[in-house]
Amino acid sequence: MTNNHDSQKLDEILAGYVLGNLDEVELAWLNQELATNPQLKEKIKQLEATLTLIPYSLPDDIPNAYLRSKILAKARPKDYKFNRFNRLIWIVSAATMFSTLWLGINNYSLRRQIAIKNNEVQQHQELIALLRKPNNRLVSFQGLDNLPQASGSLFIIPEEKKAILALQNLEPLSGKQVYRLWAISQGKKTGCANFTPDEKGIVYLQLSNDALDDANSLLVTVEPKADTLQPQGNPILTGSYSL
Amino acid sequence: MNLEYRDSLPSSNTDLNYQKTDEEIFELFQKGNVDALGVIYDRYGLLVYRLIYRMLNNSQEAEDLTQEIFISLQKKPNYNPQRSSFYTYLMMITRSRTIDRLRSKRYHSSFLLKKDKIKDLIDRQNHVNPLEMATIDERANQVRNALNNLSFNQRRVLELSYYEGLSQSEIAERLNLPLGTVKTHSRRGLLKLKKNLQDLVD
Repeated sequence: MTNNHDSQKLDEILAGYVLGNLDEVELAWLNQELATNPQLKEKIKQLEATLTLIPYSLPDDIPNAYLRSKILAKARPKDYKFNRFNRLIWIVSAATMFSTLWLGINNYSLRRQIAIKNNEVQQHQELIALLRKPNNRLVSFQGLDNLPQASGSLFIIPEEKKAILALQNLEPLSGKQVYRLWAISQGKKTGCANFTPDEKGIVYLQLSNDALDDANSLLVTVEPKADTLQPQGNPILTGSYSL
Repeated sequence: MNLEYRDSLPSSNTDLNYQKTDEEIFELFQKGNVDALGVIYDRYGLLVYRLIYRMLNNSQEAEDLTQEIFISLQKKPNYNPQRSSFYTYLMMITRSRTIDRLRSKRYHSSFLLKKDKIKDLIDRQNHVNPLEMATIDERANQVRNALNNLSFNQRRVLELSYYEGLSQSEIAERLNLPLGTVKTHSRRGLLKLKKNLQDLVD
């Protein structure tokens, strides 16, 4: 390729460039020309524009009418669609979801409370039934001077040869000390049980001791060790048969 | 090149000034005005579709690819106004992407293509705005006349190259012509076309 190309030849090279059919020699020559003559780029631009006009000659085929709206719908940002169209639906859905969740939790809570109440009622009914039995006896305990806030009860069921002791507000003990329950009958004291309270000062104990049936009164003392034969420590509670 | 299409504007869109150039409209679109894409589609959607339909011979694929091309303008627009008009850019990416699609579906038999075409013709309904059609028809007549002024071989070589994406040697083989002759036909055909369409190109 030389510099002697006339205008026609140059135009053909430019057209070949736009059509993509230049050989290597032609392309190398054109690149040199473009470097020295920027106006050629404008000619290339016009030839490219010419080529893209060709589709105007195509037959009158047309796309479906919905294509435009389909394209625009897809082009819209999701948050835009959300703001304009879905926000209300989202809010309603969220409110419904939270309401359902709240109602569910509330329902569960109510059912649980009912179950607890039913259980308590059942326990009370059982207790009333026990108290109504003629041979059953109830002993009330009252704190003495050493521990006036202590109190409790002993419920004796002779038919089943058992008794249930429930005490509260007892103080914790140190070392080997224990609380001991005594049955007093005609001045004689018989040890019935050793026990220690829990961290809240409560004792709940099931007993089985025949001496309780014959007792006139009951006593709770603090003993230096378990299973003493006679009371050695301070009396804490005293009980008398109330039923 | 200025190919605005100012007389066939949808009356519903009041956000955009339809007197704006393609390049101004596209800039608005790039800044987030999605309605601007509607204006671009009104101006060139039909031509994009027709070019793809001519090349793929299947209306459904043509619609799908038309959609892809318009959406791609949003995703990675690399348009440079200094290099070409927006219309030239749009048609160049349309043709380029359709050639890619065409090359991947060469295996389709001619029977299936013909069957698709017949089905398309039956299914098609005319939904296009008459004003839009009139504007395009006016330019279509100009371009058709310009193509008719080319020699038979010049036009044939150009169309095989443009619509089917064939290389010059493939065209030479198909038309049983020497490679040099094919190159000469295509180059001179394009130059003559440019001369005949000068008022649209300037």
